[in-house]
Amino acid sequence: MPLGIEYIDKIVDLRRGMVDEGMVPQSLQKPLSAIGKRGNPWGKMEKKRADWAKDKEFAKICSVNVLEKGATAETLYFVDSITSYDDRMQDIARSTSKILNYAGIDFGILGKAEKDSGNEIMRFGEEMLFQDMKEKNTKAILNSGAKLIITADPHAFNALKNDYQGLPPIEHISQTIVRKVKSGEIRLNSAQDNEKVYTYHDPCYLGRHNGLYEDPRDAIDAIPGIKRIDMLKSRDRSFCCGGGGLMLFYEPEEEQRMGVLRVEMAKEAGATVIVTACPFCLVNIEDAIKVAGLEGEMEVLDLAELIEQHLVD
Amino acid sequence: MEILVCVKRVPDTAENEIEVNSDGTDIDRDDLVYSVNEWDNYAVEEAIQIRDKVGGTVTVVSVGDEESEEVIRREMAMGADQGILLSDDAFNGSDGKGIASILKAEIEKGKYDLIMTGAQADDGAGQVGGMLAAMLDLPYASLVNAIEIIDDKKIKVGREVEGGNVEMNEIELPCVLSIQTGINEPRYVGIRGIRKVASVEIPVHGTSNLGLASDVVGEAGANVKRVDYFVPDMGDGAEILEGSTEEIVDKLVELLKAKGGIK
Repeated sequence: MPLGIEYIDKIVDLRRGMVDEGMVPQSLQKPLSAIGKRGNPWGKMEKKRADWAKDKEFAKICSVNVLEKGATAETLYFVDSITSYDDRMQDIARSTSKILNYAGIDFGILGKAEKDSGNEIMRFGEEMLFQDMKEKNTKAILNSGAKLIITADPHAFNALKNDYQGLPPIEHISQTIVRKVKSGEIRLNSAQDNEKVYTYHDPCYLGRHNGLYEDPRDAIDAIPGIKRIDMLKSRDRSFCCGGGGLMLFYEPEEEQRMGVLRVEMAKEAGATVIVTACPFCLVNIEDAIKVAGLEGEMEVLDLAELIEQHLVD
Repeated sequence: MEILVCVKRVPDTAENEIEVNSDGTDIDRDDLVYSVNEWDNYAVEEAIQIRDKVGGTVTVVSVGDEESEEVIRREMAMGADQGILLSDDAFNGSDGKGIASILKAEIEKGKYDLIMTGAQADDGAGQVGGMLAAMLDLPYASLVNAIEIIDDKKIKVGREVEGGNVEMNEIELPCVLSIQTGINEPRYVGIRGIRKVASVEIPVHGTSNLGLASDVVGEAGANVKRVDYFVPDMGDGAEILEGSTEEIVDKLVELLKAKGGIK
């Protein structure tokens, strides 16, 4: 049995060759060129990257420091593209900001100076475009003066931690939450609904690629009285939601959608709420719940949203 | 086969915010990003595929300013053999006929079997291809979505008609074609490919190289003058019919009858 054969690097090498020959699927060409021009796969304007922080209700209770014109901060919240521009994912950005504020962390965001982290670009084989993003992001991050980077996007976490060089340490928001719960700076209310059964879905780039399995679970368990179970396929045996980061743009033809299988696994385990810690998992599982016909029976939300909902006033 | 493709540098319309500038003469171009006109890109891909099949060269030409060079270079990275930039202050303010005259002057310096333009540009009027053919006195086929090479004197071209059918016509070479999107699947052009052609020379031709009189081009030669530039007033939104399916169908039939849609 071919266990233990690392194949990802070989696929990436094949793709590099194909990119040079121009053999990139049509559905991925637009996002790639949009990243080159505007720093995000939808080609939306750079100056709108921090617009999520301007939401009226949110801005009243939480101000977000956009580090422009030489401004610096101790901690940098690296938001990345999907969380910055997608209507639903912007909620994650707002929840994450509220948690950081609550925990007394002096943080800023790069705003229009932030470019896509490039995790998928590198893996699609567009090495030069990835290097371009890496150079621009590294410069902006170092200019921010941050001593710590926090992100809620495992794809960004993976790229900044493993593919970039010379950056300050990077943390996933689940690690921040656990740290601040231990120090007492984050206090959580008890679980409200006794009927809900929560299960944590391990995102690929947090779990199997970076070995971060326990912090998100510890963060959920910090909510007094919460009922959490694990699916059969969890931790290093987890099952991909099928999102694949920017592969969401690819639209493959498949008989069975992976997300639907995953949602059914959650149901089989007896869960009524799936908690995930990745914006791509969130959007894919939200969609899969509808396709599986489980609306009303199964919910999904992001770890940051769950914690934010339970912050003691 | 010697093929020439006309390309244009246009603003991306999808995510750009298009606003008219403060003196109402043009759109505000400060925050715009530009790229090669999509229809032209399909034409270049088609030209490259034809050349790879029957031999010859692909030349890419653009009427523009020095920024248009990046678009020509991208098409060369894609596989075009050479690029030419037609640029001169005297060209500013040219109308469609002016652009066609400039292209005609360049085309007459060479000996091309096949000349292609995109069917339209994002910010254009879909006229240059036809005008060019008329000025060169060459046969012209528009909205081409399929090309078959018969021999070095004749080709077959296809055009989509109603019902998704394709009308095939034979056309003699040399000829001019305007190309429709979807004719092929353009190959990707990566940053590495663009870097490879970064130092290839792209000659710039102006009025003197092309032997053009200044009253034929630019604002001086324009028969069409822009009078006004504005964003149209927003109309009412769509009316959404409510009720059960039968109720909606009944209301719809009523509305169609009232507005003369059905008798």
